Amino acid sequence: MMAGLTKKTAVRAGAAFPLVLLGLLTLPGCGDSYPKDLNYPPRTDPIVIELPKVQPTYLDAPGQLAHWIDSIPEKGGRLIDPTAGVEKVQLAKVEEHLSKSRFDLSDEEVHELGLASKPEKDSAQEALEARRDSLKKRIETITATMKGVAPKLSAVLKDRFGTPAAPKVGVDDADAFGLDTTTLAEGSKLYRRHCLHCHGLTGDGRGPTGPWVNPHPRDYRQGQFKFTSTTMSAGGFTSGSRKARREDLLRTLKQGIEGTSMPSFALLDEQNELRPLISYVIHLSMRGQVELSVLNDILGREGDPDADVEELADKKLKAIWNAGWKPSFSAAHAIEVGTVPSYTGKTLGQLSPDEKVQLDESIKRGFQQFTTGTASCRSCHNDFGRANDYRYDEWGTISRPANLTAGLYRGGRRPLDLYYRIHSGINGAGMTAFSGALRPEDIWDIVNFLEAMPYKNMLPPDVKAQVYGKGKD
Amino acid sequence: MQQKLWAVLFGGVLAAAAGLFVVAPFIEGWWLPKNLCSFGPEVDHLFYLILAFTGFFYLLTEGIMVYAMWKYVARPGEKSAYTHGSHKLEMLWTVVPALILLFIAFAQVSAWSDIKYQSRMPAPDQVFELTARQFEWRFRYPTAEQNALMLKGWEKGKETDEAAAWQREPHADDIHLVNEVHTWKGPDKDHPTRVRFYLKSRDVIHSFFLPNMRIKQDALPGKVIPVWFDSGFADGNCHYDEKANTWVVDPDKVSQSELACAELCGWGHYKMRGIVYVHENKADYEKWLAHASAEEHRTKP
Repeated sequence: MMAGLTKKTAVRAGAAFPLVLLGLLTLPGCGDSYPKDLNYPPRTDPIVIELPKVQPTYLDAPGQLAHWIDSIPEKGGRLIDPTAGVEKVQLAKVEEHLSKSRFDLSDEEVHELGLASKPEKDSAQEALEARRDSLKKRIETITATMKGVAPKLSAVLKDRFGTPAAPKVGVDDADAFGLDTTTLAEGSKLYRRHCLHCHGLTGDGRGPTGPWVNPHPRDYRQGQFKFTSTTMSAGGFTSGSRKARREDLLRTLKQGIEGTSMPSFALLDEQNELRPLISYVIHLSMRGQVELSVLNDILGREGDPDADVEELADKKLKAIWNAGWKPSFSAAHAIEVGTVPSYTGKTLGQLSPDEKVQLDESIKRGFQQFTTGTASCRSCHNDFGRANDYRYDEWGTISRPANLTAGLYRGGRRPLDLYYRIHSGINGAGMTAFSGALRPEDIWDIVNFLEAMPYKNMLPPDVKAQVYGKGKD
Repeated sequence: MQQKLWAVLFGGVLAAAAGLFVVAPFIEGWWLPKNLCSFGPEVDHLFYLILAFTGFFYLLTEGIMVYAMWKYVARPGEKSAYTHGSHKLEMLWTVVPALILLFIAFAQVSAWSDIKYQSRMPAPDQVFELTARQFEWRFRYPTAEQNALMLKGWEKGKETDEAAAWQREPHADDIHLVNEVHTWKGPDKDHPTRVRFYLKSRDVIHSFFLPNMRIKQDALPGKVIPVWFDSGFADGNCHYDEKANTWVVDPDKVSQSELACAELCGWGHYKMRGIVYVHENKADYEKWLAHASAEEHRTKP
């Protein structure tokens, strides 16, 4: 077959080869921006509205994030599912119990089937039938509602927030806060290259890589950010107003989050690349939260299937912007740190002997606060963080009170960062804000204690014995 | 005859490949990256030596092959000649390459020992610790005082107890950075700044690779590996930028100072990049170090 290379064949092969190479350039992925005709897909994953009461004892397996969230109702939590997927699964289980006459239900099954309480044996069948009927009705309601709502919601979101290739933010003063269309379009290109594969197209944290890393990439759509430096109140996605300031997002991008898969992007240009990325993340968060709030309102317990979607979306957008993002940007809501003691924030080499003594005293006070004082950090950070259990965070995934002896801080290791965390807590992850309970001096004492804790020899001997010694209480 | 076109095709492609090597040194970015380290020439010398051997044999073997394809092309009706091979020829083309390999093995020993043997590592001017993790490089620098303390009494081929202790037990004053190597240009070429750092990995196998310093070392989880290089031929490549309030690398010198991961470590391996800042002199480096330390101990917004 290889015997005869005719001139004709050779010429054809020679001409085809470069054309094939050129053809490869048309493959998707080449070029920077999203395709112009791509729209943000509507949300199909469930909304976590109530977390299970029981603490998790294991991490979700790699790649099983969707399954993990779906199984929240079984563990006693509640979800709202725009596709009624959760209800359909429950219905199938109820019908299986009915068809096989399995009326002796375990506690776990009670949760799985979504029953309010464990029924008596002789009324179990009735209870199950009632549950089946209510589920069927609910599925019908959701399906019918979404049929009417989904296209309207997509339309209003597209109008206010644009498409991935041409994003925008539909508030009047967007431009003043770096949310103009030029910056957002640039940010969208950069996001596609650097962030999309983890954080997903809509910022849902479910890009191709997302479910495989733990902790999972941030789902921006709840409008909750963990490492912030504003004084606004936290709350959940329905009532929370604390957002991240641009400086906070910049810090995260530049330093990465040590202990997670979020790398540092310090090598990107701050003005031309990081700034547009920050704007785009804010855009995704606003869009996601508007969608989330509208769905929550319409499909929630007291939902109104006939609500005016456009009006509702605009109302939510105004609230998220005026009560959330805009004030968070303003310097008026930046955390103030009070008077910083002179012995705080210096290297050991810079401390005078007097200051060294004062620092020791401060560390002792911080230790007191940590263990027996108002702050009572030890109640969550068991054994100074070395013996912590898993908790649910407000995204339905796992978090854990930090091990404070490790010297690894996700939100930054500067004394200022630790001050921010203690002052305003960590939104979404269960770390309380202590600004009401502690004075600035108290917070600085705790910060000094935390800064010293990973370094055994910095601790005063009695504190060291209690943190690292054999006879610790 | 059309059959001979195969010889032309093969000959053409192989000649073009050889041609690339001839042309490459003259095209920007196609040849070896600029060398900034004093043991770089040893490494490059080995590269050229091996290139000479392989180049010679390439031209020889491919030339013979193309010639044979042309001259001994199949003609209709012609019968093949059978041969049982030549024992002498097989001996020749086994023994000669084996001897060449042995030669290379011995020729490279001095370069390898100069760079890798701990017993040959010169006393450094700078010590730090680098932990590779997916997908970034986490640095821990000592303060200037701590650095000086670690270097006191450092004999060639050993390490001071102070340095070993600092590696094992981090200090509260250490400066932590991500993806940034900072060093400084020595006063002259005879006194390059020697950097000797401890390489660790927090998760999987990574590889520390500075193309411009001709140094590559796998980072193994569970091991602490000392690595050394210097900036003997480097020019300073960074300066303090008032507006950004930090040091920036001169735009035309960015590619002369890259750190890359050279062992596939996961989905982010390609983005595990760092930058080497070569400060103009030690004073500038220490100024930067103090600046970074102040930032790390920041207490006011």
